[in-house]
Amino acid sequence: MEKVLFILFAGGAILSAVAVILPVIAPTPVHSALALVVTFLCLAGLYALLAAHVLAVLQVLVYAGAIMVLFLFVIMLLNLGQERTGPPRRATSRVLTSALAIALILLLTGQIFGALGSSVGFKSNPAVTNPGTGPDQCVATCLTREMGDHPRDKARKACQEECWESFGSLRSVGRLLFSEYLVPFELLSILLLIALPGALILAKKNLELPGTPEGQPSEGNES
Amino acid sequence: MSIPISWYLLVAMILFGIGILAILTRRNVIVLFMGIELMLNGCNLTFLTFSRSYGNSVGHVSAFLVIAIAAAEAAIGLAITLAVFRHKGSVDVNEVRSLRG
Repeated sequence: MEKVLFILFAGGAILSAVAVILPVIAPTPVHSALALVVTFLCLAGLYALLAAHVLAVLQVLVYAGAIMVLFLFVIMLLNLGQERTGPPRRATSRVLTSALAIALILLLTGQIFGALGSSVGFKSNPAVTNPGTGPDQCVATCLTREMGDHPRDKARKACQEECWESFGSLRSVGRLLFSEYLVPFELLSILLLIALPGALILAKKNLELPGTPEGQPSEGNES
Repeated sequence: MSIPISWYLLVAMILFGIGILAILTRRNVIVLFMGIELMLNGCNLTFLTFSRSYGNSVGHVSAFLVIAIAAAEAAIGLAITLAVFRHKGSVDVNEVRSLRG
C-alpha cells in the first residue's frame, strides 16, 4: 500500500515537474503553473508518507494555495497568453545546457549515494527493536525517565511508541519551533513584514525607475 | 515493506535537477521562478526524508522556514517581474540587460 502510494505520488510529481518545463507540453505559462500545482499536491502526498503531516497541510495551503494563486494572478495580469519571448535559441546551446544540468544531477546522485550507501533504511518505530536509537528529544526523555528494570520496560516502550506516533504532529513541531528555534521564527516574521510593503512598492504602477522616460504608458493593463 | 530513504532522495534530486534544467533552458522569468520553486521543494523533501530517517523533528522546522521564505521570495520576485514588464514590455530574461557591463 505504502509502495503503491509512493510510486503514485513520486511519479506524478516527476511527470508534472517535467511538464512544467517542457515547452512542448506546456506552451504557455498558465499550463506550466497548472502542472506545478499537480507537482505540489503530489509532494504533499509524499510529505504525508514521510509522517510530516503538518508540512503536508502547509504545502497544500501555502504552496498550492497562496503561491500558485500569486503566480496565476501575475500571469493573467501580464496577459501572457503566448510567451512573449524572442526567437528560440539555437539547438546547440539548448543541448549543452541540458547536458550540463543532467551532469549536475548525476554528480549529486553519485555524491549522496556514495556518502550514504544504498542500504540506509528508516527507523521504523525503533522502540520495539532497539530502544537506544533515535536522537529525538522525546525518545531521549523516555530513556532517562525510566531507567527501569523489567516491568518498567513496558512503560518505556509505550512512551517511545507515543513519541513516534506524535512525530511530525503539530504539537511536536510547534514545541520545537517556539522553544529552540524561536529566534529564526521571529526573524522570519520580520522578513515577511518587510516583504509585504516591499512587494507593494515594487509593483506600484508609476514606480520611478532611474532612466524611465516621463509619462510612459504602462503596458500591463489590469483587465 | 518500508520504502528505502534513497528513493525519496532520488525523487528530491530529480525535482532539483528539473528546476536547474528550467533555469538553464527557459527564458521566461515566470517559468524561471517555477524552476526555483521546484528546487526549493526538492530541498524540502530532502529535509523531511532525513528528519524521518533520524527520528528528529528539526527537519520539519527547517522545511517550515523554507516554505515561509519561498512565499516571501515569490511575492518579491513577481513584483519585480511586474515592474520589469512595465518597463521593458517583455518577460524574457535576455531582454533585461541594463546591468550587463
